[in-house]
Amino acid sequence: MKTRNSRAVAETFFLLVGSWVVLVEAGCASTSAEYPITERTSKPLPVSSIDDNGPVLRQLVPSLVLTLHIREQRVELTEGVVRLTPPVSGRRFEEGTMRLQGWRDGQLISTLVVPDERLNVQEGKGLVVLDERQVVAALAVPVRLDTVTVQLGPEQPEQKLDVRTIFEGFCKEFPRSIVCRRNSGHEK
Amino acid sequence: MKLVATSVRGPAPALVADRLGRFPRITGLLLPAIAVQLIVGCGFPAVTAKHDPLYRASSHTSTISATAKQSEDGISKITIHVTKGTMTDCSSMGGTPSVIPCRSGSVTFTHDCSFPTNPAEATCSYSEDFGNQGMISYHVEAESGAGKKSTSQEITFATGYPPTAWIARPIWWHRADATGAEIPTSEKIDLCFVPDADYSGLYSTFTGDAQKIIDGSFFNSSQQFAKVYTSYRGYFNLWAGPFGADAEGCSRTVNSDLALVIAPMDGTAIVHSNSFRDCATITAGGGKGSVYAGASDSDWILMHESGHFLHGQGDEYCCDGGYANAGSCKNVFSSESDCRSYSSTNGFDPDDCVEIKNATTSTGKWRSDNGQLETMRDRTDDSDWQNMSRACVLARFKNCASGSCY
Repeated sequence: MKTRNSRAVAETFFLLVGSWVVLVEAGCASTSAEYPITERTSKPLPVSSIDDNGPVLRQLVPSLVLTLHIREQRVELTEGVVRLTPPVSGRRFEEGTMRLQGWRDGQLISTLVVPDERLNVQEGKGLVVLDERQVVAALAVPVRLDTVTVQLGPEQPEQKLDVRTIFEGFCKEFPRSIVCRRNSGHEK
Repeated sequence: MKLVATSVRGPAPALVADRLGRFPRITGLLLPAIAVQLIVGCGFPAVTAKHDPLYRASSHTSTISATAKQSEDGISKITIHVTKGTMTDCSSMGGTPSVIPCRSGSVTFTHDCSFPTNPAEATCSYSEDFGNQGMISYHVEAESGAGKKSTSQEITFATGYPPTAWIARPIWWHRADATGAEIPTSEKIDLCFVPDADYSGLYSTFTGDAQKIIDGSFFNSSQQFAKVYTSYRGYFNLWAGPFGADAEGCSRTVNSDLALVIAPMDGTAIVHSNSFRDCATITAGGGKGSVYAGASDSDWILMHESGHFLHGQGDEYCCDGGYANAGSCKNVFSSESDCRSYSSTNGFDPDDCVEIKNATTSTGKWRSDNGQLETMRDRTDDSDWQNMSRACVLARFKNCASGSCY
C-alpha cells in the first residue's frame, strides 16, 4: 500500500514540475523497521528492446531440439523442433555419452555430445540401467540440415536420422529465421 | 537417499576452513559471498536481495527485498533498480523463436530508500503486481554512511503465466550484470524444476513446492546441507518448466513442450507429489532426477539427487545405493587400491578409504570417510558434501568461474 501511494504521488509531482526525477516523500513511513526511512520511486523510463535483449540474444544459437526414443541400440526420432537455445557445452565422447552430428550434403555442420542417460541410480535399489529411455538434446544448426547421425557410445555404429521435413516445416512457418535464409542463399 | 543410523560425529567443518585446510586446489575459488553480494569489509556495505514469491504462474504481488549491512559507517541509502516488461519468445526480434525468453515494452525505474540515521543494517522493499507474462530484472545498490557503494548481481524472474508453454520461466536468472553486459550461460549451472504429471494440472501447487525446495537449498544459511549451494548460488540459474514430465521410479518421459525447455539445461529436477523412491541419472550435467516434494526434507533430497545428476556422484551409503560415477571426479571405487590411488593423486588421505558396508553386508565398494556426515550418505540436515564429493562440487563452481561449468 505504501508503494502504491508513493507511486501515485510521484506521478502527480512529475506532472506539476515537469521533472524526470520524481521525489515521493513517504517521510518516516509506516514500517516495521526501527529506523526512519524516506522512500521514493522514479518515473519509469522506456528501455530499447535491442539494448534490453541484446545480452541474451547474442548468446543464443539456432538449435534442432531432438527428442529421441532409444530401445537397446536402436534410436528413433520422436520429434524435432528448431528453436533458439543457449549453446550446449561440449563433452568428451566416452562411455555414458552419445554423439549427435548434423550433416548437410555430406558436410559435417555441427557436433554435440550429451549423456546417454542409460545409467541411473534409484535410492534404496541401486544402479538401474535403462535400455529403453527418452533423451532430448539441442544440436546447434547454423544452416538447414538433411541428416543427423547418432552414435550410442564410441564403440557403437552410427545411425542416420532424416531431418529434412523438420526444416521444411520450420522454414514455412518462420521464413525470416537465419537458418532458412542461409539455406536459400540470401546469406552466406 | 537413505536414512543411515549413524551417530552424529560432530559438526562439519566450516566452508572456508575446510577449503583452506583440505583442498588447496580450490582456494582460488571465489568466496561464498558470490551468492548475492559482494564487497564486504573495507567499509563497503554487504548487500543481499531476493524476490518473493520466486515464481508463480498466476497474477500476484511480488516483493523485492534488499538488505544492506555496514557496522562501521551504517547504511545511508539503498536503491532497487527495476526493469520490467513482457516476456516473449524473441521471434519478433529475428524470426526464430527462443526457449529462453526475451522482453518487450520494457521500462526501468528505481526505488530509493534513504536512512537518515545510518543504521548498521537496513532493509528496503518494493512491491508490485507485475501481471501475467511479466519478466522482471532487479539489482540493488547500497551506500554506506561514508559514501562507499556496493552493487548486487542482477536477477531476473518471471511473473504470471508465460506467453507459451514451451518457454523457460526464469526463477533466479543471471541474465546480465548490473551494467547490462552479458553473462555467458556457460558460466552458470542451469537447473530447471518441472512438475510431474501427478500434480494433475495443479501448477500452483507445484510452484509452491518448488519454492520450498529452492528456499531450503539455495537460500538457507542455517542448515549445514544447504550451505554450499546457498553460498554458491551465484553460479546457478534456476528455471521452471511446464507440465509434460511423467516420472515413476527411473522411468521418465517428457512431452514436446517440455523437451524444448529442458534440452539446453544442465539438469532437470522432476518434482513429484506421489511417493516413490527417487531416481536420477548419474551424469556430470545434462541429466535428470526426481525429487519427492511430499517429504519433509525435500530440499535435502534435491541436494542428494543433484549430486547424482549435476555432479556425477555415486551413493556412499550401504548397502543398496548406486555405486558409480560420471565425469572426471570420483567418490566411489571398486577396490581399496583404487580409492587409495585416487586419494594420493588428488590430495586426500588414503587412510580415509573405507569399504561401504554395515555389520552384515559388504558391498565391495569404497569411499573416503573424514568422519563427518556426508550428503551422498547420510540423510540428515546436518550432512554436507565431504572429502571427494565436496571437492567435485566445488571444482564445478571453479570451472564456472573459469568460464565453463561443464
